[in-house]
Amino acid sequence: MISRKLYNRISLLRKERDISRKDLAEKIGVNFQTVGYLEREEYNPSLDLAFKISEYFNLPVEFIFSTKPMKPLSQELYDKTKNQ
Amino acid sequence: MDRNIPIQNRRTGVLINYFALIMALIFFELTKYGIGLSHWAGFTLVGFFLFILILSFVFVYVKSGLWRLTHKKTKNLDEREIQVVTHAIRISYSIFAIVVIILVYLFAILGIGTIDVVIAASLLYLAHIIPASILAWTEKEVY
Repeated sequence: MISRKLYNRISLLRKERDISRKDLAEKIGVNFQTVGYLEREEYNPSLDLAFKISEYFNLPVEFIFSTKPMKPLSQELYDKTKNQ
Repeated sequence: MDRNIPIQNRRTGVLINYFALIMALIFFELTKYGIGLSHWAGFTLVGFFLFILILSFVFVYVKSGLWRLTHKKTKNLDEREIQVVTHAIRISYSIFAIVVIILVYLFAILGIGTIDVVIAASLLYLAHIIPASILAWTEKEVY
């Protein structure tokens, strides 16, 4: 079965919070290489791992993962303020 | 452990490793049956290729951590590692089965002696090395 590509904001969130790949990997219980694969969107995480990541960043899963390419956060923020 | 071994180097290492294994086997069998080479020259060449085999094994499989990765217990792997190792083992099974069948038929049809302990040991080595070779060939990041 070929699964759909999942897009994510892991790299952005990790850099924003100044966490190394190794630290994040330790917190979510994977090898640090796996974090690299996740950030490059070359590996789709399991539901359990996706929830672990969302719990770690304290953000909803749908904010971190998407089946469609994600807009840059600045763009999203701008759109939100424009609509308000 | 923090230095990524470039994929090109890994692939070259895999090819050298297989080449050394095949050459060591060929020269061993030729020397055993006394074809073309003197005992001394034959076993020197076998020793040379064994040295290359060990050297490339250490570089490609041990230093990269691929040997450890393919021999770890499942409970010590994360979900992506389980996925890639399982995939590599699945492909390895087919490759290994084909190699063994070809070898058995070759010995049976051509009547070139029996599968001795050296060939059996090489097959055992091959069985353990194929999954790691597949990962060395395909994985983007190997530390």
